[in-house]
Amino acid sequence: MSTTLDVLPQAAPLPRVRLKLRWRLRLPLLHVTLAVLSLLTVMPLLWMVRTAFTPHAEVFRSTLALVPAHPTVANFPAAFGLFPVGDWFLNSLWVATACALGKLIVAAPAAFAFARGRFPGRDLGFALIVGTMTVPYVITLIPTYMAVVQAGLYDTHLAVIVPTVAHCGFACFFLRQAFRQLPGEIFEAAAIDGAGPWRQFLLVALPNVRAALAALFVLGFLSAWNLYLWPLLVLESPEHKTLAIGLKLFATTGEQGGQWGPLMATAMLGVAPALILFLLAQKQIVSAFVTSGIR
Amino acid sequence: MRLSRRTALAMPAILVAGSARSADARIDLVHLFSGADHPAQKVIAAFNDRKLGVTVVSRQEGTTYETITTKAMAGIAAGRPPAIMTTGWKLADFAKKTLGAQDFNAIYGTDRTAALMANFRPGLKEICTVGGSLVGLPWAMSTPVLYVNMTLWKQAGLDPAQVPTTIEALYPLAKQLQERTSKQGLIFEVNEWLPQAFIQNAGGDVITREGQPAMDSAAAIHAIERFVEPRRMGIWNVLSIGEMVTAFQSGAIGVMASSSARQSVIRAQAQFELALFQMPGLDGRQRRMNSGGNFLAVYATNREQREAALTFFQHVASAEGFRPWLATGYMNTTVHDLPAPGNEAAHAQLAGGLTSETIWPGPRGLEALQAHIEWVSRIVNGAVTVSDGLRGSRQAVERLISNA
Amino acid sequence: MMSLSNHAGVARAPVQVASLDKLGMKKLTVKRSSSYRSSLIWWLMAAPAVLLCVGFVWLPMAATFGLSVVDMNVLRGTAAWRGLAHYGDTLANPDFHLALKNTAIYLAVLLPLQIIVPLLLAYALMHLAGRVVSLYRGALFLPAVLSFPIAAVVWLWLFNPVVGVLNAVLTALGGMPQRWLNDPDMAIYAVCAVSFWKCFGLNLPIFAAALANVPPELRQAAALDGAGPWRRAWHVELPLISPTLFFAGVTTLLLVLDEIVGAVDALTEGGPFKTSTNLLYFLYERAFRHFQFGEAAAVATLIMALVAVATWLQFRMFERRVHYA
Repeated sequence: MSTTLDVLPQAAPLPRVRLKLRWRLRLPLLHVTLAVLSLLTVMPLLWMVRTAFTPHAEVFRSTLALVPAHPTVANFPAAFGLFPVGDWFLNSLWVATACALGKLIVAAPAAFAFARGRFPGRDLGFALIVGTMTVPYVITLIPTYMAVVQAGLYDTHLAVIVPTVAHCGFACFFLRQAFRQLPGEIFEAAAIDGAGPWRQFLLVALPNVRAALAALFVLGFLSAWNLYLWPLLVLESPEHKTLAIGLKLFATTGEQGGQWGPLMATAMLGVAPALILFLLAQKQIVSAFVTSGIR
Repeated sequence: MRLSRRTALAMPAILVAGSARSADARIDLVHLFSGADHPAQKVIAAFNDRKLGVTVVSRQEGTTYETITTKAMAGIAAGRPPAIMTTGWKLADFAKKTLGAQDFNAIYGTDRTAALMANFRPGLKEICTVGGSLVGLPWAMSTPVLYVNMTLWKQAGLDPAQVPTTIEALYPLAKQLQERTSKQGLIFEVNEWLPQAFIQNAGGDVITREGQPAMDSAAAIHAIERFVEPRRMGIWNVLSIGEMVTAFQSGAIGVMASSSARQSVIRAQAQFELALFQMPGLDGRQRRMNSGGNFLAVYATNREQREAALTFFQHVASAEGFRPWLATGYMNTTVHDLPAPGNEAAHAQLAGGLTSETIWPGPRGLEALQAHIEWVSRIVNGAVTVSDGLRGSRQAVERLISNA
Repeated sequence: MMSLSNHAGVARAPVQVASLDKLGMKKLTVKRSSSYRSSLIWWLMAAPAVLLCVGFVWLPMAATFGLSVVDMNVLRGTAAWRGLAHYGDTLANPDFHLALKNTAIYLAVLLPLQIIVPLLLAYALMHLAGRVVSLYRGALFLPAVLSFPIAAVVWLWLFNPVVGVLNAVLTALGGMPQRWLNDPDMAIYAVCAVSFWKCFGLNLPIFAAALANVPPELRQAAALDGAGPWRRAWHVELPLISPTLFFAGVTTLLLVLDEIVGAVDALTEGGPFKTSTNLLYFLYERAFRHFQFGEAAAVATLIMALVAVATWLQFRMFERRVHYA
């Protein structure tokens, strides 16, 4: 059984015998509706892009034009001059990658153990992990904050990475599904060859769930890239801030003059990696959902 | 030779410590001023350029006193207090009692402190003193002023020389502006500060000198009724402060009552003719305008940082150090003769005498301040009547102060 | 099944590896390697994840409860026993009631919207073919990829009462300009709008996958039986994807509670005067703006209780209707 599906199964064509005229007319109508909805959804982002290229003199004019009268790229260097945007961007990049990788490194062996292993406490352990998905994240903030402070990790990136990696419930759940879908024979064959659990994991299991791993990496990266509340609490120095919380600081400078053009330029920087990853991995993510057998 | 593990682990630390000792003392200045071109950055850069053995690191933690104070609390809770912070005047008591602002006389000795404070106007020393301790350097002092879009003012047929001296005189002018130009006539800041100006100008106090909340006295109620009158007249659409500044800058509002500290930014951004008027008082009552802004306080707990902070203070208090600072709208609190172009209205008010900002007492002073602001917001938005709202505020503040 | 025991007489878990040969006969192969040792290895593989989850989720939950009965002053490092005083204070606090009411509003508005709308969209998308479909899907999912501060910044600009595009469109269409986030009555709905815009796409691939996994034969069979698309949807497809619907219901509930906090903080900070706050934001404020950890912990415990009840209710009410094939 191949686990590298890369295309969503096509919808079953409606049986021709039932295709009355009014159903035929509905298809273009559906297209139009969906096109309009898609455009409406994307419109705020288009507006963001528009403002990023609007010169300061025009930014405060209330207008409906989608393209500014005198587009300029001056907002981008301006943003870097106002705030350490470059630092923020690199910090976000580093933290998001570390979180995504960390989650995989922690969750994958565990998921495999839960999928194929037999050991005392297995079901309890799995319940403990998956149960964390039902806990609202904000509730754990206070003691985690106190622990981070006590451990002397305040204002370090580790303080963001470790608790984020600890919330690996979804990754464990998802990977366990993926591992369970693999045929048992391949593991038995490996076991006969003398491979213990670790080698079965590394040599047999991992290579067969690449799609799921890639999807999880992307999802983990995106969610860590967008982390907001927790870094807001534990990151203090300007050099350590990530883009998400730097943006909030930037956005609140309205009381002191409001640099909307550079702000939107910075927002574009915040969107760009997420957008690129998303476009590249869109099919992977969707197919990962499909093959996970969610029904 | 085998290094013992302990020695091996200690070596990087020794290296770092060694290099640190030979470098300048670095102190953090936590503030709320945005932008790399803000005069605060110029002051810091000028100081660092003098190479006095101290490097000041600029750390903008937020854009309001409440935000940076909250961040400072987080740092203090983590054992990392900011070395220097621009502390809002209104939070002086809170800073001393809860945040641990240091007494200058205690850490620098009376002689050096007196020499430092000799640079500043004598009356300001009192405002910086909380419970007998001098906790700050009077660096940034502002006062409410009226920003007027002169282009719209003239367009409405109003006389530029006819500066209203009372609020009651201002309102009809704003209404005329709105009617003739179709732009919003007037806007006020919705916080604790501007209402304080009204309350004091009516003869009341937000919190008495003894620390008792008094914002529901008859004088205060009279004042706030005047404050919300533009709402009833339909010439004031409430906006947040950020939106207010954006709107005024873009020429959508005729008159804005706000802090004189904004004047440099607004002058730079506005593309219309701008004039600043003194903040009007109330008809038939004695003028009692308040001040605002912040002072520089020391929170560092080790000697090296404190001494480094003193070096910075001495620079800032000097004429040369203070001069670039006047490019903001803050007033000249020093005794030096320095020019402050464009800020005549504020300095006129300073010359006429300014009271201190309301000081929010007690360890929960910050919460009390925020509770009061919320009540003001309720009143302005029409959710409660003026007297009910002010009474609600007094009760909330009383509860928080007594909870000390 | 054979069980092996070692010299010490400890019974090992029986290990059996079975496979079918071509004739369908079972072949039994017994591993000789130590199953005790492989138990340990399995355990080591699972341990980091379990320990992290316990350490950063379950322990904090227990600690929160502990915090709620003391008066901890973080700035001074002191703690004093307060018993249930914090709970009393919280329950009497009118701000708490407002937060509770607002949370109910957020849930009532967003929970149905964030399930029904993606479902309808997934269903519509299913009937279309062509490359443009992935374009639609991408566009609709796009906001989910953003962070809350970015979404907030974008919408703050749109919502600006003076220079924002929304009021420009509104006045062009002849309406009155609104105050949006400044308006005490409207702020909460404005936050709902932003949160909906950002999160509705999240359920889209889940529902699309579930619908795609419905065996086409069942659909065609229903069609041939004379059922139009709506009846097919109601009687055939909906029950078949009900496990997914249920799963989406539970996760969306948590999503609405949790992610709203980010939206509120970035857009209104709970204002104007707390009309757009919700329970979790109230907690966040108590803890990290006012540093009243004891009270905040009490709020957290109350929230945990509420979430538990809400989840249990969801299970009671809907689990019966879930059709497991």
